[in-house]
Amino acid sequence: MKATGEGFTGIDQVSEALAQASYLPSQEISTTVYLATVLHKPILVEGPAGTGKTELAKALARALDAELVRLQCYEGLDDAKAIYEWNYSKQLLRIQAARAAGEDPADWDAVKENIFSEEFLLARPLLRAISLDDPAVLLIDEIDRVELETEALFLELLSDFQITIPEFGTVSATRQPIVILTSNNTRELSEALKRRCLFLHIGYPSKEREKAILMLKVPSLPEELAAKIADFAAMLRSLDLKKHPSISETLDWAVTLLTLDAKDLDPATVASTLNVLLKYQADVEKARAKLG
Amino acid sequence: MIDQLVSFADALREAKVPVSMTEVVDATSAVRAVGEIDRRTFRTALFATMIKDEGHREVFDLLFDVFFANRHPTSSRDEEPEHGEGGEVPPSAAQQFGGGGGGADELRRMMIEAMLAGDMARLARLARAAVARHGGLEKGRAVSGVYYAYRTLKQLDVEMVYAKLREELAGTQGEGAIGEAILATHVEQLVAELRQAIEAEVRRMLVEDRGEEAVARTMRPLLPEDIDFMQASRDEIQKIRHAIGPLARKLATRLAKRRMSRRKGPLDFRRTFRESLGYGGVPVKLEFRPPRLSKPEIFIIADISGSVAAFARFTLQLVYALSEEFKKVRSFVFIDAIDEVTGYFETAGSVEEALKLVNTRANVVHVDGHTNYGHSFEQFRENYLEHLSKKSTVIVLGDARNNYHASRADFLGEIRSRASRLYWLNPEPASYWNSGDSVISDYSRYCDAVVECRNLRQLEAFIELIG
Repeated sequence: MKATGEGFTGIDQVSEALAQASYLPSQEISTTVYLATVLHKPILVEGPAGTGKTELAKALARALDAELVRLQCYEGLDDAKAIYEWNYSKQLLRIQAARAAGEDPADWDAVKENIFSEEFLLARPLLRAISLDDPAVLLIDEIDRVELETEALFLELLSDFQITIPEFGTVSATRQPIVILTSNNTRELSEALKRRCLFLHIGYPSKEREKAILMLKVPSLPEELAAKIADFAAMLRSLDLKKHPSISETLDWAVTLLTLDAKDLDPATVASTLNVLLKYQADVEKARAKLG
Repeated sequence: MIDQLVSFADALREAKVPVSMTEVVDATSAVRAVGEIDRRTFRTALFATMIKDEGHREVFDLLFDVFFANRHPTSSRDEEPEHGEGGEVPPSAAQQFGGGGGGADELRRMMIEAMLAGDMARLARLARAAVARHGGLEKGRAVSGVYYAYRTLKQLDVEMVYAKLREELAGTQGEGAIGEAILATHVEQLVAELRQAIEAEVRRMLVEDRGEEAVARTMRPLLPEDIDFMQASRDEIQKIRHAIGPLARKLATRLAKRRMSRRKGPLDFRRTFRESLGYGGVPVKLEFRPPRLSKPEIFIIADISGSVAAFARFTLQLVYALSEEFKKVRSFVFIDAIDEVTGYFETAGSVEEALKLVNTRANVVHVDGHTNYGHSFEQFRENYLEHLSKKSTVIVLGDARNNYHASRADFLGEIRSRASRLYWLNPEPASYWNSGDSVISDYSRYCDAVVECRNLRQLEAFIELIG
């Protein structure tokens, strides 16, 4: 039962559709995504790096057969990069062409009317996401990287799915996109932004889910080894480390173990490959000490 | 339903979790959208709409259990709807389990079975029997129920649960240290589930007895940043410790940003000239060098005697997590003698390790191990005064309870005159200052500020002030 661009009929369908798009959601993820489609609200996704925040948006686009429009945030992002920009050089060309064609240069109103039309508008991700005719998933990635003041750029879009362009009028969404914002929580987001979103925290997966993810992403992995890897990762996450291994790191580790043709987690193999899982030397040492 | 959501939101606000009116409206539509289904979905619907910060989850969960405990009678964290047969051990029948320890043994055995099978619903029903039998709940008492849960767990004998689980699971994870470690984690997790089931059941009983709002009021759940350092229980200390990492990250971003935006550096002539070539030699745009960062140099002098040790720990942990934001951090600890411990933080792998070294190695006892501020300041003046400069900020951590020794505030005055600024962080409520053997007023006249610092929220505000 393939979901259509119209959205989902129930929570179970969300889980199923995402699984088909090779993303195994937890119940919490499916429920929140379902709510987002029914309530027409953006989702603010937080959680440690490498747990599949961005991947969720991609999988959702695949599951809905929708176009993924992505806006990567960075310090200094402005409306010209995020929303729209007038195509200045094309406007100039248009004026010059008008002059060459012998149009009355005094007829300024006509020219103005003309050069501030849709033809001269360069749609950036936000505008693009709401003007597509086909279903779309808008991913605003790492929103915590923009300054607090810049967040205001997103507010109109997030609450009303529209964008106001002074010279032009208000553009409303032809079709409301599903909006996913991700944050690494390096700063507090504004109340105004948080209020407009549903909140979803994607933490480390349960053992069962991690095992399923491992088997989905590394098909040649034997089930027994997948279970052991998941158990081992859960154990590491219970230690007091600087950085706990994320799903992407356990996946890397699984591939490493396969490459080394390891059938089991024997101490020697584990000790020599720990640095795939752990990114700090102090953490590696702590884990080694624990494993004797 | 709406009434219940509104009072739930009120209880959250009471615990300093911000919930706006629109969020309550959203929660109502979310509940309507998911329909009347299982508790877990219901919980997620409320969480997604009302909560916007993972740090608030624990308070949310606790209050959720209080307010919606009786909605679906299965349990707290149950993952399935209730089974038809209605639970093998109804509370009334619990009494029938033999006398004395026999019943507890039997219950424990069944609970372990349920845990191993991952049958949360059954575990919840057994928890109900266990609490009814061993909790000893007294009707009408305004308590938070910690004691009831404790009593139940004691009767079930947690140590025995550990042992039995280990026995049952032995060998399932393979031999050797790796198998051992995995097994230990697994057992730990199962016992945590047991605790949660018991606590949830206690909350449910309390709510049945006194109603949601009354119970929410007596529980008074706290966010980690609001927990009082001086009164934190062991669990709470863990919570504070875990909250410091994320807090430090946010604080660091804020401090760095503020420094960046403060002002421009001097004119960068070379780049301005280079830029001007594009405009035929006219310097249209002036280029500036990045500003010289003036990061403060921090000297921490911390009282680590029993009563304020936790406070000193947290402050040191936070300051060292932020050490990038300061030019230099030097730390000194004392009880009745002072010792520099900067080296431990530089060589140990983590702040945790360093704090352990501080506790075991630092030489802080001179006579009797009773806090003596005067003597410690005197020693600091003798040994370290010359290291202070006009770039140094000195932070003293302590309650200024001097055991009736001479306060010798003049030494602190000398320290102040060498440094650029001197702050005193006091973990006691301001109303206790100067009572008993607290001599904070003697010292305060040499301090730029004496700041009450009882929880992470206040500590954060202070660091932001000096950063």
